Amino acid sequence: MQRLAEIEVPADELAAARAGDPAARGALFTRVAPATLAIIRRLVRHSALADDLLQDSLIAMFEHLGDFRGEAPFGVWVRRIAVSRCLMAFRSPWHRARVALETWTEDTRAAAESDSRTSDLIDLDRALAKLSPVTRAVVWLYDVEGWSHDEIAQAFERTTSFSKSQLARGHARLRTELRSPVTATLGIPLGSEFDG
Amino acid sequence: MVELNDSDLALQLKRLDAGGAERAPAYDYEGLLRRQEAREARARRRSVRVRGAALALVVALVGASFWRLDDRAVAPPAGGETTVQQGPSEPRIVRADTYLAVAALEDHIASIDDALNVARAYSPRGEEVARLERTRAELLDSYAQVRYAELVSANF
Repeated sequence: MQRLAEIEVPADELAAARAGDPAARGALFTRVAPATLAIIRRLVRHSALADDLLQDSLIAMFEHLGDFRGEAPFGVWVRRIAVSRCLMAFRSPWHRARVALETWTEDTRAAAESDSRTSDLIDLDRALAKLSPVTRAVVWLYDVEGWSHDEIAQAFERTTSFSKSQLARGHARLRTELRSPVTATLGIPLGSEFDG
Repeated sequence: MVELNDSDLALQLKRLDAGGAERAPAYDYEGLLRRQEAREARARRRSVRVRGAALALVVALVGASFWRLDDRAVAPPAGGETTVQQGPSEPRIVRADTYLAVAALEDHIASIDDALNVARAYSPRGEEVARLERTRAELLDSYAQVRYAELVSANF
C-alpha cells in the first residue's frame, strides 16, 4: 500500500475536485482513503472510531481543498488533517470514555487477525496496542512518519519536552513488553493521557 | 531476546507499517456523503431538542415564579379559616432541575468550539467559521437564558 505522505494528485484532478466535480472527488477519495484509514487505525486502533475519524478527515479535506497550496505532496497535507482529527478525539472526554470501554476487545480482535507477519512484528503490534493513545501517537509520528519533536509538540499544543518524554516512555514500555511477549493479557492502555 | 535500542525499535515499527494489510474503508465516496448527511441531520435534531428543552425550562421556571407570586398576592377571604386550612401545607412550587439542560448546552458549545478551532485553522474567514460562530452565539444565548431563569427562580 502506498504511504499517505507519498501520495501526489495530478493538477487537473485536483482542479476538477476543487470545482466540485463528483467523479473527480470520487477518484480523490479512492486515492487517499485507504492510506488515510491506515494511519488513523494506527493511532486510534478502534474500527468504529477510525471510520468516524476518516469521515471527519475526508470531509475536512474536501471542504478545504481550496486551501491546499501544493508546497508539499497532497498526502502530507491530508495526513496533517487526519492526525489533527485523531488528536482532537484523544482530547475529547466522550471519545476517551468510549475507547476505554471498547478498546481491549478491538485490540484482541486485531491481534488475532495478524495475517502473515513474523512473530516479532506481531509482538511489536501487540506491545504498541498497550501504550496509551497519546504515547502511541507520539511514537508512531516520530518513528514511522518521521515528524520532528517540534512538529509533534505543535500538533499536541505542548512543549518539545512533552514529545521527548512521551517518546522515551513509549520506547521503554515497548522494550518491557517485548521482553515478556506473553500476549494473552488484555490490551488496556495504562498511564494518563497528557502527563508529560 | 536482544534488547532493542531506539533506532532498532524505529526500524521494526517501519517494518510493521510496511507489512500492514491494507483495509478498504467501510464506505465509498457516496457512502461518505450519505454518512455526513445523516450526521448533520442528527446534529440539527439535537440542536432543536436542546433549544426546545432550554426554552421549555425557561417558560416553566418563569411560569412557576409568577404562579408563586400570585399565590402570595391572594389574601385569605374574611372568616376563611377553613379555606386556609384546605390549602396546601407545603409550598406548591417544584423547582425544575436545570442540570441536564445546562450540561447539554455546555457540551454542545464545547463541540462547536472544537469545530471552530479546526475551521479557523483551515480557513479563518470562511463561511463555515461564520456559520459556527452564529450557532455558538445562539447557544450562548440559550445558555444565558437558562442561567437567568435559575437566578430568577432562586430569588423567589
